[in-house]
Parts: sequence; C-alpha cells; structure tokens
Amino acid sequence: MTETVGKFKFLQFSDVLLDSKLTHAGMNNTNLTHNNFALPREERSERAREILEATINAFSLAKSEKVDAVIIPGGLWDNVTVTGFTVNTLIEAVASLGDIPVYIAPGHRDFYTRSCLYTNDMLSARGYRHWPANVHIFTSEHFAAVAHPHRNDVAFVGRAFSKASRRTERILSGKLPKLATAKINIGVFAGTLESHPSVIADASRQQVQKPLVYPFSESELANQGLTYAAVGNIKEAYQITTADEKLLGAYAGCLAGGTFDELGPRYAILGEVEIDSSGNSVVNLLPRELDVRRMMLVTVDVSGLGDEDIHDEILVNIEESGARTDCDIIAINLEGRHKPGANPKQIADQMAGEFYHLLVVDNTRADYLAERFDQRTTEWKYIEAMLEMKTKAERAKNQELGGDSLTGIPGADVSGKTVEDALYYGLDALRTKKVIVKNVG
Amino acid sequence: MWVERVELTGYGGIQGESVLFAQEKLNLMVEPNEYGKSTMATAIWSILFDFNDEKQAVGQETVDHLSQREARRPKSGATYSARMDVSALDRRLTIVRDFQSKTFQVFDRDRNNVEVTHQFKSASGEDEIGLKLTGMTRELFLSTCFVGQRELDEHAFGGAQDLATLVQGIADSASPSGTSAQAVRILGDTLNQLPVGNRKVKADNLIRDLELVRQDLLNKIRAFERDRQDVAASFDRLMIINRVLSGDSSRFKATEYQNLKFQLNDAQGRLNKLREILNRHKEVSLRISQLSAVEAFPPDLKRPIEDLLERRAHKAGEIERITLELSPQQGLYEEKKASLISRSKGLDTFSLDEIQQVASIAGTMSVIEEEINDLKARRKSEREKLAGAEASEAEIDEVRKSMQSLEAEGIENARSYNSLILAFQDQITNGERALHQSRAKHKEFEIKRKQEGEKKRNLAIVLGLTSIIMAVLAVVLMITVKQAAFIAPVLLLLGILGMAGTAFIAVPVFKPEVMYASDFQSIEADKLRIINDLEEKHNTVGALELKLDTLARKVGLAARADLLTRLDQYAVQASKLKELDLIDQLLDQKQATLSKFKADLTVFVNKVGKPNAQLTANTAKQLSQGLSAYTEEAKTLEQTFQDANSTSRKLSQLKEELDDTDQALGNILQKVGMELDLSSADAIARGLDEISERINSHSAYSKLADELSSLENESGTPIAELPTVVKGLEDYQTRVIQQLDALRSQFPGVEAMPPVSEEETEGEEAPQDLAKVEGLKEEREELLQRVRTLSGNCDEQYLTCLEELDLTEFKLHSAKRAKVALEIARDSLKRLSGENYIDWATNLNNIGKEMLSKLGLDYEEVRFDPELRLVARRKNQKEDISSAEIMNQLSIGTKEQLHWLARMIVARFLSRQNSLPIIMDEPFSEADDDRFLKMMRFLINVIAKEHQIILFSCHQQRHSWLRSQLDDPEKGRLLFCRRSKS
Repeated sequence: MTETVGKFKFLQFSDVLLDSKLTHAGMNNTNLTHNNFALPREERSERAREILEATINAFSLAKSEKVDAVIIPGGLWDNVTVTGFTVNTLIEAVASLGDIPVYIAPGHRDFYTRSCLYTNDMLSARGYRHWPANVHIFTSEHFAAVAHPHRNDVAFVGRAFSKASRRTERILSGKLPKLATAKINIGVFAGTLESHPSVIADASRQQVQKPLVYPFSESELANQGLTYAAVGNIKEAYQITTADEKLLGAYAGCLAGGTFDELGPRYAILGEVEIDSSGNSVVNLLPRELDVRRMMLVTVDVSGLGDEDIHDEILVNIEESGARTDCDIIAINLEGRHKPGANPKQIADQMAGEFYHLLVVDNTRADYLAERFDQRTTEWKYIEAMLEMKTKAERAKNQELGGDSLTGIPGADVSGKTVEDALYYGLDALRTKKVIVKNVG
Repeated sequence: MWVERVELTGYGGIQGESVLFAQEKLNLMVEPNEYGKSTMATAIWSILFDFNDEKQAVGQETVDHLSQREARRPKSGATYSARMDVSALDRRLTIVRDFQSKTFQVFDRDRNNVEVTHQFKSASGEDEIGLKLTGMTRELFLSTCFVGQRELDEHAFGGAQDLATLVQGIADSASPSGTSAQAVRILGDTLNQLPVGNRKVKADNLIRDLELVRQDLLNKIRAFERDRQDVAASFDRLMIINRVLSGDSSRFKATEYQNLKFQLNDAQGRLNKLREILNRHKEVSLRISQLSAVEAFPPDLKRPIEDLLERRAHKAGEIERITLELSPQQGLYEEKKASLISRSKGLDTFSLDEIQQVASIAGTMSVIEEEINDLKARRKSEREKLAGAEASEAEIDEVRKSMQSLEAEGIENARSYNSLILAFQDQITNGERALHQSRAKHKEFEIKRKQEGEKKRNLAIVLGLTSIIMAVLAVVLMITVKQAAFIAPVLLLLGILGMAGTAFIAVPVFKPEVMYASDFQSIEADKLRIINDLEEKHNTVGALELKLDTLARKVGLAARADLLTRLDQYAVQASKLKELDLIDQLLDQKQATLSKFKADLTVFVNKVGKPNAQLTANTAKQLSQGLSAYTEEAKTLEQTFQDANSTSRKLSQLKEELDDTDQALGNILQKVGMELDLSSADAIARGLDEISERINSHSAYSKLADELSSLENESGTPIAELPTVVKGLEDYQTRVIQQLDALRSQFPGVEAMPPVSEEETEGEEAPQDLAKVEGLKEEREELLQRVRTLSGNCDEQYLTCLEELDLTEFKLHSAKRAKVALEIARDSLKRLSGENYIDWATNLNNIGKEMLSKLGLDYEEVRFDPELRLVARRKNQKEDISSAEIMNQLSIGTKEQLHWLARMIVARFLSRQNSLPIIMDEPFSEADDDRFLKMMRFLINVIAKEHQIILFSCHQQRHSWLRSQLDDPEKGRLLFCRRSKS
C-alpha cells in the first residue's frame, strides 16, 4: 500500500469575463435571437456587479479553504471593455490572499499585451496599484514553467494568449517545459478540447464551421504527463479524462452566468492533488457554486393550450427546471402553436411579480394552420402563397447563403422567417382583427 | 347530408319530443307562435356544431341577454341534450349532444349503432362533427344554410353586416368574421402605428430613428476606439519617457563626445531641414500664387461630392463586373426571348390584364354565340307554331296587326263580357237546375200527401166501424144481459171515444191541403225566387250579348260568335307572339353584347396583325390559347433564366442607382454653379473630369496652404523668423564643433572609445540637459493625464455603447423585418382577395343566372360584381340597381326576395360537393302572395331537388292557400311535419 506523501489544494476558476457585454450581436443559429433575451440596462449593471462579487467570493473561498494556489486559466475579463475599477477591485481581492499564490494565464478575451491591465506599467499609468507579489501572470505565448513559491514539489506550466498569436496552433503538440524537480506539475492555459461536448454541439448547430482556438485532444494532453491541467476558454464545466477514466484536467466553465448562454449553476473547482510515495497522483475535484443567482432558461411549449392552461404550464415547467423563483433570473421561452386568440406572452408577463426577475420571449404562433380551410377562400390561397414564398425564400437562402436584406421591397430577398411572420400577421388581421408585432417596442 | 330525425331530450321548452324530416322534400312545420319552431331550428345547427361560447363568454351574460347556450337550457331541469339522425357521407349516423357537459357522441346506425365519435374529432380531440359532415364551420353554415327570422329583410346572411362584407367574408375565410379588406386596413394601420412602448410610431419613422441612434452609437464607438488607440500610443510614449527619465547623470566622456557628435549631427540635420523648409516654402508660395485664381470650392460640399463620386465609381465597377458576368447568359436569354417574341407575332405586347380580358372575351363570346344559336332555334320553332313552317314576315305581321286591332277595340272588355255571359249562363243553368229540383220536390210532397190521406182514410174507417160496433154492443148488452150491464157503459164510452178519434183522423182525408202545408209553402217561395233570379240573369245575359254584338261589329265581324272564335285564336297567338317578341328582344340584346365584345376583340386582333380575322368566339379562343401558350413559354423562359434575370434586375437597379447618384451629383453641383450634363455617358465622364479637376485644384490649393502651415509648424517658428533661427543653428554648430575639439584635445582618442551600450544604460540614460528633462517630465504628466482621462471615459461609456448598439441593431432589424412582413402580408392579401373575388363572382353569377331563369322574377339579372356586391337589373331596363339602392330604395319584400336569392346562390355554390340541408325560420314574411308562391314553387321545384329544405312558419292559412295553388306533383314534394312524443 502506498502512502500519501504530498497534498496540494487549489481553487480553479475561469471565463468570468468581467465587464464583458451582456448582450449579443446578430442572430444565433436557431434564429432565436439572443437580444430577445437581453436583460434591461439596470439589471445588466446589477448583474455585472454580482459577477464581480462572485469573483471576489472565489478569492474569499480560497482564503477560507487555505488553498495552496488559485489558478485562473483565462477569461478573467474582457480586454475591450474592462474598467480600471474592476481590475483595481480584483487586485485588492488577490492582495487580501496574502502569500497564497495566484496563477493567471491570460486567455482569448483577456489576452496579454504590453498595454493591457495585466502589466504594472499600465496600472501605474492608469493610477492603480500594481499586482501584488503573490500573483504570477504568464505573459509569453510559449509555455513556461514556474515553481510554487513555498512548495518545491509543485510547479505551474502556463502560457498566455497574445494579440498576435496564431489561434489555430495546436498548443500541446510539442513537449511542455515542466520542472524536473516538481512532483506535481499543473498546466494552466486556455485552449479548446476538440471533444468537449459544447464544442461538438456548436459544430452540429453551425452551418459554417469556425476554426477552433488553440485546439488540443485528450491524447495530446495525456502525452504531456501533467499531474493536472486547469483549462479555460469554454464556458461549460468538463472533466478531461483518458479512455480509462484517468483525470487529466478540467474546465471549470464560467464562474457566473451573465447571459442566457450561461445557464444553470456555475462553479469554481476546489481541487486537491494527492501524491503517493511512488509518484502517482490522485486529483479530487469539488465544484463550489459562488454566484448568488443563476441564469435560467425555461422553454414552455404552449401547443394546443388556452389562456388558463398556459399559466399552469408555465408554472409546472419552471418548477421542473429547478429555477428558484426568489433569486434566479428566469427567461421563459414560449414556443409552440397556441389556440387562436390566446395570448401566452401577456399571461407570462403578468406572472413577473412572482419572480425575482422574469423575462418573457414569445416565439409562439397561433395555431391557424391546424384548422381546416376551404380551398375556395382567400385565406387558403393566402396561406398557400405565403408557404410557397417561404419555401422559395429558404431555398434561395440555402443556395446563396444570403440573409434577409430587408430592403423594404416586399418579396425581395426576404428570409423564410420574415415570410412566416407575414403569413401570421395576415391571418391575425383576418381572424382576430388585431396584429401583435413581435420584437418591436 | 340530410336530417332524418331530431329528438329533443331537453332543449328550451321542449322535452322528450321528436320530429321526422324527409329527404329531397320541402319539410314544413307550420305551427302557431310559441310552439317551439325557432327552438327546433336552433337545435338542428347546435347539435351539429354546438354553441359558440367564445362569441359570448358566460361571464358576459346579462339579465337582458343570455348566451345562446343558456337561452336554450331547459327550465324544467331536464337533461340538457338532444340527438339527431342524419344521413351523410354515405352513412346513417346518430349524433347525441350533451349541451351541459359540452360533449357529443356519434353512432353508426349501419353498423349496429357502434360508436364512431373518434372519427369526428380532430387530432387534438376537438369537436369537428359539424365541420366533417357539412364541410363548413359553424359561422359559415349559419351564414349560408341557416336562414333565421327576419334575416332576409335587412341582410342576406346572418349578423349585422352589409351583404357585400358578408359575401367577401365568406369568400375570404372559412370563419367569416372579417374580410380581406378589413385585414388589409388593419395591416396598413399597424404599419403606420407600430406600438413602441407607450406610443405608436410609423414603421418608416421608427426605422429612421433607429438608424440615427445606431449611427450615433457607431460614431461614439469609433471615437472610443480612437481614444483607446490614443491611450495605447500615449502609453508607449510614456514608457519611452519613463525609460529616458529613469537614467542617472553619470556619463562617460566618450558618451559625451558621442552625444555632442550626435547633437552636431542633429543640429546639422535640423539645419538642413530648416533650409529645406525655407526652399519648399518658397516653392509652395509660388504655386499658391498660381492657384489663387481657382474659385474656392465650398468645403461642406466637397465631402458629399467625394462620397457621391466614390459611390458612383463603386456602382460603375459593379455594373461593369455584372455586365461581364451576365453577358453570356443574358445573351442566350435575349436570343431566346427575341426568338419567342418574333414567333409570338405581337402576342408579347399583351399585358396580363389584356390576356385575362381576351380569355374572358373568348369565354363570354362562346357563351353568347351559343345563346344566340339557341335563341334563333327557339325563334324558328315559335314562328312555326305561330304561323306555320313556311310563314313569311308579312304573315306574322298580319297576325300581329289583327291582334293589335282587337286590342285597340277593347279586347279586354270583350273577354270580360264573354266571361260574364259564361258566368251568368252557368248561373242560369244552375238556377234552372234548382227550379227543376224545387218542382220535383213539390211533386214528391204531393205524392206523400196522397199516400198519407189514404192511410188516414183506412184508419178512420176501421176505427169508425169498431166504435160503432162497440156502441151497438153496449146498447144490446144493457138491454139483453142484465148481468153484463156494468160492462155496457165502458163499451159505450170506448165506442164514443173511438168515433171521436175517427172524426179527428178523417178531417185531413177530406181536407188534404193541411198536410205538409209549410213544406209546400217553402218550396213555392224557392221556386218564385229562382224564377225571378233567372229572369234577371236572362236580362243581363241579353244585355251583355248585345254589347258583344256591338263589339263584334266594331272589329268587322258579323256576330258575337265570330268575335268569340277570334278571341280564342288571339289567346293562343298572343302568348306565342309574346314569346317570339321576347326571343327577338333577347336576340337583339345578345347581338348587341356580341357586337360589343367583337369591338373589344377587334383591338386585340389588330394588335396581333390580323385585322381581317373573323370576329368570332373561335378567333378569340384561338387568340387566348395563343396568348396562354406564349405566356407559358415566356414564364418557362423566365424561370430558366431566373438567375440571369435576377442579376439583370440587379444590374438595372444598379443602373438606376447610378442615375440617382448622377442626379444627386448634378443637384449638388448646381449649388456651386457647375452643371453636370447627364445626356450621355461621355458628357457625364467629361463633367466628372471637370469636377474632379476643380476639386483637385481646390484640393491642391488647400493642400498647399496646409503644407505651408505645416511647414511653419514643422519649423517650430514663424517662417519670417526662420532665417534668424538658421543663423542661430549655424552658431550652435560652431559651438559644438569647438566643444568637440576641446574634448579631443583634452581626451585624446576619445573619438575612438566605444560609447556605453544601450543595455548598459537601459533605464539609466539621463537626458542631456535640464530643459529636456523638464520637457519630458511635462510630457509625461500630460501623457498620464491623457491616458487616465481617455481610459476613464471609455470605462464609463464604452461598454454601455457597445451593448446599446447590439440592442439597437436588434431593434432595427426587428423593425425592418416587421415592416417587410407587414407589407408582404398587406400586399399579398390585397392581391389574392381581388383575384378570389373575381373568381367567386364568376362562379356565383353562373349559378345565379341558372336560378334566376327558373325563378321567374321581374329581374333580368341578379349578379355579384368583382367586389362581390349584389347588383340587380329589372327586365327591360338598362340601368343596374346597385347594392346601396337595393338596401335603401327597394321595398322590404323585394329586398327580402333578392337577399334570399343571393343566399341560395352562395349556399348552392358552397355545398356543390356535399348537398346540405337548408333551414329556414319564417322566411318570406314580407313577400306578397305572388312572390311567396313563386319563391315556394322555386324551392319545391328547384332547390328541394338538390337540398333538403326544412321550413318553419306560423302562417297556417298562407300555407293552406299555398297547398291549394300547387299542382299534384308539387303537393307531393311538400311534407307537413309535427312534433310527437318520443
């Protein structure tokens, strides 16, 4: 039986993206517009503050758990929008850790430059205090090893994203410069595991594949012989293991969700590495939720329901989703085809008072098309014409990869979705004598 | 579908009663008020469709107005349900509906009443029994096949809308709650009043506002990005200064020497530069003096013109590129199109409207020609009937003349006189018959009196003899037999009484006139009355015959017998002649219509270069077929070259945009007194060169002026003082040379010593003099200030701007999408409803024409116009009666009649595939007897042959009268129904 000869405790978190935009440009793949889901301005500010608080909570946790190091493999903030105030607050927080070292590997959005806020020169120029001595920031895009200040048996091998680096490089194809003297070598870097479930899901959704940023595979990581790899750059938490279930490393995912792309509970990882006398290591990971609230997206299918049933259906779906009504930010995505005359959005909006914050996105349609139509009526001819126009528009769009030019010329280069809107606006006007225009106002 | 039986378990005031109906009959339920007729009528449709609770929610019921469901709830508390046996879809079904629980069941009676309810529910379990059996929604059924009380006087269909709106509603939607016109208006209103927050904004304005906001945000973001670049640059400079200032004052003499040397070189360089500036200044001043003659170009217009020129160049490039790409395909397309056009021989000049017009002319002319042929055949047959097969026009005129003469002389009087004579003669005959009967009766009574007299005489003889014998016997007994003396008085009394009776009986025998005296008197009185009456009538007949004779003589006939014969002939010929006249009239009308169409056709025939073509339906048909073939071929060609066309359209669009740009250029140039000749490409090119030259000249002038000022800036001193500065520098150079000489003399070989390397002095290099140190420090402070201020600004606003830009772009995109979608919806609905109305009008009018011919109304035409408004035209009148005139100027009865016809037309059109029952609750209440009879006859003879009709009425006498007016086959199609206990 082997004996544990060394333990190393750490806290890992990443992809906080402090001060990043809490809105999104453009449309997503499913045409479910992100900006439908954007929080109002006040709530966005409040949420940004809460995300900063969650980050500070992480440092407090590190202190209370007396960890040996805090590891941040990328995504601490967004270089483009981060404010001096936020960075200064972070510096104050890390300074409070005393001699617990903090290892930061700047990532995709917080890449390292001479004039970024990771440099003390810029901090001086901006009039802020410098990073304290317990913070080590990897500044080179080449992997470098650095020893733990108090533990000779522990070393960190990390790298930074830099502005000019080639993003498609396979960063783990070569040999990493581990410290030969260290029994525990911990990788700290941002990169994309090709087999990460969210990468695969993204690939299946997107028509045009974007190249992965600093891709690597499990085998490449395994070949490096690191004790553990703390990896960032993907928002979803994931443990990287070999085929025989040996833990190689982990993504902590984003620490606190700010948009409805970052749903559910979010974690920091409290990890412990145990080394036995024969040099074998065991890594135990414990997720810790540090954010006071969660971003929750509840999709409610209102197909075939009338007003009364819609209310109940929403409540049931929210309950089933595990959303906490008193503290979570909940977006209800209404889908399906409701009975003509029903108004699911109005019903959902009226329920807002029962929640900490409720956002309602209406992607429903009145269920006109399930009805029988007399083929002699204008209504039928209109539906037929619109469906034909929609098919043509979608076919054209697929062929030319064109979008909705929205030139204002009816029928010219419109998308299938716009034609579908037209179909339902027309039927609304004909049937209910009322048109509710979506996403305007 | 037809309704066999309706049983009301509990419905309104009726419990446990049922009524049977027959197929292809006119089922009449004629009962007094409060019988429950309307309840029965409502039950039929509500069993099929149930009540519409959405139309009036339960909560909206008021004391005065119950919902339909509540209004029919049984007051007795019986189960609120009803059942109906129907025959539909080749099956015999029973529908059981529970109005309380809002459920229904369907049983198949052909299969042992097995329940088949599931077959009449939608996938989501909704009630579709009515829809599946009738093919109509409840609203459509109620608007067409169900005629409620007093619906026809104001409206042809249920509800409170006008007729056109309702027909449009039916044509537009299966649930005719609204029309396309309303929907188009609503969509238009929405486009003009998009709800945005608490206000309403026109979509165009919203898009414009959002574009402005977006542009503003983009400008702000660009400014922040510049600031960020500025921060980066300032930071770099700051780092350099920091490095410089962080060095100490220790220096090696070699370094000092090298520095002095560097300063010397620097001074030399500066001197050279200043001299160069001086020279350049002279050159620039000279060129400026040359360019000063160029008229100044307004600076605010320069940018727009440059933008326009840039846009123009871009467009022109695009056009060139597309033209190159397009030319092979376009060429092929043009070639095929040219070939098609050359083959089409003028067909390509036809617009879509004209093609439709030709098709319509072809169809209509063909129909009219057929009608004319029919009418000619009918005319021939009528002529033969009137005046024989070989009759000439003259002979027919003779007949007409003769009849006119008869008419002129009071033919109607003659008819009346003759009718009266016949009537009186009938009455005389009847009177004589009555007289004869009275006489026979008199005779009969006489015989009866004789027989009675004989009976009385015989009785009197027997009674008299018996009485005498008894009296004699009494006397004999009194005398002869003392012991029997007590019997004698009795016998005597009896004898006396008998004789008295004999005397009483014998009186009528001797005086027979007392018997049946009153009867004889009555008979006599009758005879007298009849005789007087007969005399009077004979006198009247005589007088009338005298009048007839006079009339006969007036028209040149010998006697009244001839006149009467002529009258009979007249009756036969008049109807024939009338028919013939009518046919002639119709023929004239048709010919006139045909001529009109021919005139229309002439235009099109000339268009295809065949002015001599015969103007017939066949020609029109051939032309229409040619046009269809051409259109089809052109369409195929267009589809084949769709991409080329699309690119071609894009090219045209680009050319238009180029023209617009040129136009805009021209407009701006006018402001600076220049003119752009847009007449030709060369002229435009020349104009553009001129503009460019002027802008360039001005630009050159501006550039030179700028250069002058930059030279002054560069020199750091006013140009005027430059020679002095140069002189100062030359002196400085001399001083430095002296210092170098001194160093060389003090430290021989210093010039060969290596200076301190950069690495060695990194962070330690000190400025050469105090002034420079101070300058760098000041600059550092400024840079720090700059970095902090700009970063602070970005911290405060940059993120907000980026987020706002995302949201604004989303709003803008959504607004544009909404606008396009609303416009597509509005335009498509408008176009499709227009096309559909025309289609409906054609179909309805065909049915209407057929019905009208069988109805025998006073109307030549009842039709729907392309907007589905009802238009009527009276016989022998040219002017149409518009829908507004029908509503406002016609009598209620006429309105009812026309609206009923309109409804029958629509109902028939909609139920062509599936014959549906027509339920009428008290129709024709405003019609006069004649109209009532005509419409009922039409229902019986025409409609009832294809539809089951169920009619409820409270007018018993009117329907009895109706029955008396109908012939036997018609009576056979009537079925009087009554409720009976189930």
